[in-house]
Amino acid sequence: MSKSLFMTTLASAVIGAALVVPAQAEVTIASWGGAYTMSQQKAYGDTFTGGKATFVNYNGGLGEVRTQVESGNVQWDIVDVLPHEARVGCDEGLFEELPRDVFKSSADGKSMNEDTMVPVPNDCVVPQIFWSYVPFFKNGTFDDNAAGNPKTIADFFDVKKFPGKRGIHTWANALIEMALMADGVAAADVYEVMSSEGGIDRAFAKLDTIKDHVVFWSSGSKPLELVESGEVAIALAYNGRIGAAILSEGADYVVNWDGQVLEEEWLAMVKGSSNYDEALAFLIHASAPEQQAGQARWINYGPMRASGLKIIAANEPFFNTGVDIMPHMPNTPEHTANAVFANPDWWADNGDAIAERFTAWMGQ
Amino acid sequence: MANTTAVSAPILTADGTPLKVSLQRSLRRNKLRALGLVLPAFLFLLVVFILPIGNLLTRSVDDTLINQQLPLTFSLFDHWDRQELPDETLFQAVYLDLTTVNKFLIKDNTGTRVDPTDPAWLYQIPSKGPYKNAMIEVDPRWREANTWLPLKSIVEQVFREQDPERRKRLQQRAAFNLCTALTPLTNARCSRLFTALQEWDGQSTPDEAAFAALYKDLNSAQKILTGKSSTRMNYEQPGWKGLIRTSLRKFKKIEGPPYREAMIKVNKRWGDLVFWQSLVAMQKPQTMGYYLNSLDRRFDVDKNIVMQSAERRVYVMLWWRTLLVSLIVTVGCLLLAYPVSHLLATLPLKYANLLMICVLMPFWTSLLVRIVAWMVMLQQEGVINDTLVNLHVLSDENRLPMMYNFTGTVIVMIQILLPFMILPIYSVMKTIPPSYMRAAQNLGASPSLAFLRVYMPQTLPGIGAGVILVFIVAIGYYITPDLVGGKDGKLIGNMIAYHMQKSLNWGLAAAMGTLLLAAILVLYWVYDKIVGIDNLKMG
Repeated sequence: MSKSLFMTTLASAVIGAALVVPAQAEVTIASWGGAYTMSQQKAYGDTFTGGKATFVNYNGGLGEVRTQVESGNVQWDIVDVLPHEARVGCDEGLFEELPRDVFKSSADGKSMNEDTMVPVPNDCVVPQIFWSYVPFFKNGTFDDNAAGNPKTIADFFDVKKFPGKRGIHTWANALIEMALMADGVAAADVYEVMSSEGGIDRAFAKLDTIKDHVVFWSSGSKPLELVESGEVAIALAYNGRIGAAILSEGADYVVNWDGQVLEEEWLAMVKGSSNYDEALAFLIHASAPEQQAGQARWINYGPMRASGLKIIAANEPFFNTGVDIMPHMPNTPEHTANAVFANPDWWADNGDAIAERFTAWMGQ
Repeated sequence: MANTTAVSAPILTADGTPLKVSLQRSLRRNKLRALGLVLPAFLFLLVVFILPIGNLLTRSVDDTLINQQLPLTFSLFDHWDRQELPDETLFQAVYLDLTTVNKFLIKDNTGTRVDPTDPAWLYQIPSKGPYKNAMIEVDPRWREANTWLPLKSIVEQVFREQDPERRKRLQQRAAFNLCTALTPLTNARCSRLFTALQEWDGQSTPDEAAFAALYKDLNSAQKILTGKSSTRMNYEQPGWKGLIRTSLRKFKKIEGPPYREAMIKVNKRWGDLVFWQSLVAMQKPQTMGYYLNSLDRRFDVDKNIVMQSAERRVYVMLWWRTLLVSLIVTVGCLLLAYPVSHLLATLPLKYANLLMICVLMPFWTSLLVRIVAWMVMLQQEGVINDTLVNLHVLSDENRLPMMYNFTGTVIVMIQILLPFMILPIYSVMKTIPPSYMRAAQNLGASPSLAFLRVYMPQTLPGIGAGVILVFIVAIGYYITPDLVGGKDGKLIGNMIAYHMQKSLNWGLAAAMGTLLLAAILVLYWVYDKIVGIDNLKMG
């Protein structure tokens, strides 16, 4: 009798445990893959205690998110988005609007929104990182060159003084800004010129000057291959890709921070996610200053929260291999002395028209 | 004859039923069985092929969304001469369309127009309430319990579920379903209404709280609609998106008519004629605008079809390039595949098998691996150029550009699509007895004549199948050209992907997809006329 009672208790305990286990919810995060997602996995996923964080890769854009939300079949809980998507997704009702008071303040008492280095565009997104388009070349490429190494963005566009092929991407973002800076527009005035009559023509005229010397790339790893193989002399690339080559593979690259264009990266929750509570907990965790800083142990993208950057600076050498990471960060004061923070509102208005014009320009 | 049948007794089967009936029964059973066998395939086709194509076609002409957003504006639009800035009436209409929940958001009212002479259109539901009487005045149907009952049943369905875990999930969906039932949106959430409807008895007109919930939920749905509309409007005239976003925030502060000056003060773009004129193209719930866009054309202010502004003209060029790439790739594949297939078909089996593996091996290899391999081979610092330079065929400065341009695209695509040409041609050649050629030559034909008159005509079905296969696959290619094509790497497929994923202009993507489909159907028709579709052999 007592034995069967024992068995019953045991059985119910086992069943009970089995019922408890699925409560360990899974948060699915769509991100860009590669070293970037790996850094998120290490800094946010492995340290997250509110459930299992699973990262899946996607190619950007809101096409999939829109399909999932509008069909009511939501697979992703969180999505890692660019500045334009951060705004459109919220405007079109594809993201959850989140309460603001649940997110962690910085050590000096600033709320998350105050602590973020650019204005937070809406209540749907939480800060992630800054990344940038920046020119780089292999040390030694310009050794025989009379003018020495290229140093400024104007040098990147000067194929006479600095001969050799240029690697640039196949879309217009950042190229318009860089062309104008190279043409003598001050970083602070770039968007004013772009909005003015003839401003875009001016940028395209500048792009024309390098067009015959250009190799186009469309995937992030490509510019590194192009520079490494000598196919191009100097290329634009995502700063994190260059940083990974320098920091982890010991590549001897020179980065010209002058004239870089910084872009925002945000996290947002997909509307109708069936794991709302866990996903919110993950967002709170991932946007906290400690985790923001922690990501920089694995990749040189700059935390958007000022307090995150402070944590890194105070704890150098911060990178996982035991070297300083601040010299590779895009959003330090030294590197943003002559740089543009991309203006997503301008691109939201003009992006489609410019995309068509740029494609036409490429094909001419 | 009829008489004899009527008189003579019907022939019966063993169990006593008339033979005719029994025969019909067994025939019907056979038919049903056959139907049962094809049914899964038919349903599959319906779900994954026919329905999406139908969806594509409707999307490519659908402009209802923007008409739900600006019903007042579009009702009054034709009273404006479109030559100079509109007067107060139109400004007021836009203001009301953007700031108030209008009855046209409700699904049933979609597409109806207001009567501009009826001052009732100026009436707006006060945004701070009270809502009940105001909403009933706009649409008297809200007084009837019958209007609310379908909504209530959505709520009740949730509470019929016993399992708490599943009920929670159902409840989540129900909030969306309420909004889907009410509005044209599927991604709006009517949570307040969900709560309010739980309280409602299901008989009398709901109370103020329910109306408040309805209004507020519709209001947030409207915001989503506005977000989507601004994407649409921005495509017609760059700048709408920013204009709408900044205006929405500041419009709340405008206290009442007149609106014209106040709106221009909020954002000076409201005083820019171009924005007002751009609305012309969106005025009808069905539009040809997307098709025009995908051919570099647009409606001007007088609804005439004109060319797109010079620097935005890109699609016609891309259509031609796509066609050209597909043609070159098809011809290239044919020229390479024909001798290979012949060899495969005529070699002794042990060599033929080896050769077949050589054909299939790349076919089974990942696309990306093959692309990267070509990059290594063809780039300027690549294997081929290095070899040529080392052999002093080329000087170091004159390395051949074979990658990141048109040449690269064509070479890589030919290699990738080659098996699609080889396999059908091979399978047809395999069936041609070698004795035919020998017979032709015995009868006095030269080898080339025998080939031209005897062998080649018999391989035509295979050539046809290969050509169609390769061409259709090539015309939709976009990732490979993008990776290896450099400045020539953008094809029409890239723009479809861009508009699906990045610009979210699905209407335009659908129009381009439809045109692509139409182009293929036309080629199919031409093929049928010239060669005959019965002559097609896939294997």
